[in-house]
Amino acid sequence: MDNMLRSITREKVLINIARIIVFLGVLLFWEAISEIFGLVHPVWISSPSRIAVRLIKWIMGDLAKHMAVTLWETMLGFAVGVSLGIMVGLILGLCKTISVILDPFIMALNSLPRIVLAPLFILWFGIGIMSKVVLIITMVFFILLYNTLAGVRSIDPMYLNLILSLGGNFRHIMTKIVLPWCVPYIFAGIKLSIGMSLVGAVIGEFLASNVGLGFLIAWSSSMFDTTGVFAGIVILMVLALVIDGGMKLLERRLQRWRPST
Amino acid sequence: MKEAVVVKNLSKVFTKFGQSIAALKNVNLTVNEGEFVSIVGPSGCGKSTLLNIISGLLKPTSGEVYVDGEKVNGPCPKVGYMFQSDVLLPWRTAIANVELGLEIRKVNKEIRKKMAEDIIKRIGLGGFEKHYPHELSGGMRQRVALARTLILNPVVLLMDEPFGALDAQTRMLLGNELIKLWRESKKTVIFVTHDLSEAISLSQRVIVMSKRPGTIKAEYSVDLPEKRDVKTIVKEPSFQELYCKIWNDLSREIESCG
Repeated sequence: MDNMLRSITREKVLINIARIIVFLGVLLFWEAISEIFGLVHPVWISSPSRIAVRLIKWIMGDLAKHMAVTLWETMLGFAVGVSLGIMVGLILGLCKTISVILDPFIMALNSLPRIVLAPLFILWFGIGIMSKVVLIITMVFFILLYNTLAGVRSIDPMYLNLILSLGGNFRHIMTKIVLPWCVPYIFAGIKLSIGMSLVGAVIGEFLASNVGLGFLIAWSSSMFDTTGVFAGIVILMVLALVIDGGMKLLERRLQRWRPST
Repeated sequence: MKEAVVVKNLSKVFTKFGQSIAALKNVNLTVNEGEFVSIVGPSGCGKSTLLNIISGLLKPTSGEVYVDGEKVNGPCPKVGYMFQSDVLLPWRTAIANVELGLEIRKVNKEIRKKMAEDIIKRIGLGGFEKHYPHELSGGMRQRVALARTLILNPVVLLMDEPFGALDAQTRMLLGNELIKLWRESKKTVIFVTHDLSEAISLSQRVIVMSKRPGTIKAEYSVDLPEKRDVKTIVKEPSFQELYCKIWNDLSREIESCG
């Protein structure tokens, strides 16, 4: 047992070392072709050293402000979209009549590429955070709606009989069966939605805004400032990784009861 | 003797897509307190429907059901119901599953835990309290389901093919334990099964239902000792004699189903 554990940790350490080597290798190659050998001019692909310098400059400057705005939009749109999606998903899942009537409308709205709505949202809600939040809501809402619906529909009706035969009522069916049953489904939706929310915020800022990470990238790009574009991308990547890691931790805690696969 | 369950002129008609299907027709049945009764019949004859109505989960089209002298109008705490599948909640440990009914009845947390621990020991699952359902075997899961029903101390226990999905050995083992539990607690048990040998070996009375629309076709009392072993009892001459007699009735119903 002890031996096995040790060999597993050893393997993990080796994998991490290999990853670092790959990462540094790519950076080195990039640095080499642009700065050291000058094969491709830094105007096109910038270079890791330039990006690092720019990041430091931004961090000392007003990066915090841009990041705060983007994160605020992401969180707001995510929270409202997820809650609405879960609520409507539960209602449609529990009430067959409503779901049958609304089904074609939901399908039609969901198949619409959300980006085409962005100009309307900017028109209606301005270039501030509201237009981005609404854009994110329209993206996230349907994911949660469909996932929650799939969860509710997969419940074996025997469970409802069980609760009733034990003397329970509708509230017990909801709290003891439906909600916990849907947790994995909702969680899968939430995992998808977080990244999607960030994308929505950035796209919204791309189209019209004067602050935020998307604005920073769009503005850099309009100045032919490749380094600025890459620096913005790096920040987005780090954000996405941090969020993803947090979600994985939370998921492991919430789903301890599942058989490990 | 006191009557625990009385079913009077019970009929049930299901309507689906404008078509009516009669599931039960004029069922009359009386089960005395402390009696162990089995119901056998061809599949689809309405055995489960009958249990659903007795439990109050389903409303009859006509007729009445009385449990312990009271008319059934919905699920009542005097009736415990064990289903074909264990329907354990996969995110709850064995003990938390057993506590479910007490939770719904708002029993204090400490008392709940104490009661659940006691009953888990009684059904022979001591040490498995903290296991999740996917870590338990089929027989163990069905025991947890039994404990979840028994903890509410029902007067009448309805069992709908509870051992149907288990292998033969486990089934016999659980059968013996059920007999022991029944003899100790003197609960009234109505046990539905499609396995005639299981029906005879467990119960004091076997009721044969006809094909759909289900009605009670015959009744046989089982003259075997209360204290018995389901594994050896099948070899008794009186068991085999009874088996042949009931099988004659039953097979006619099954054959006419086509």
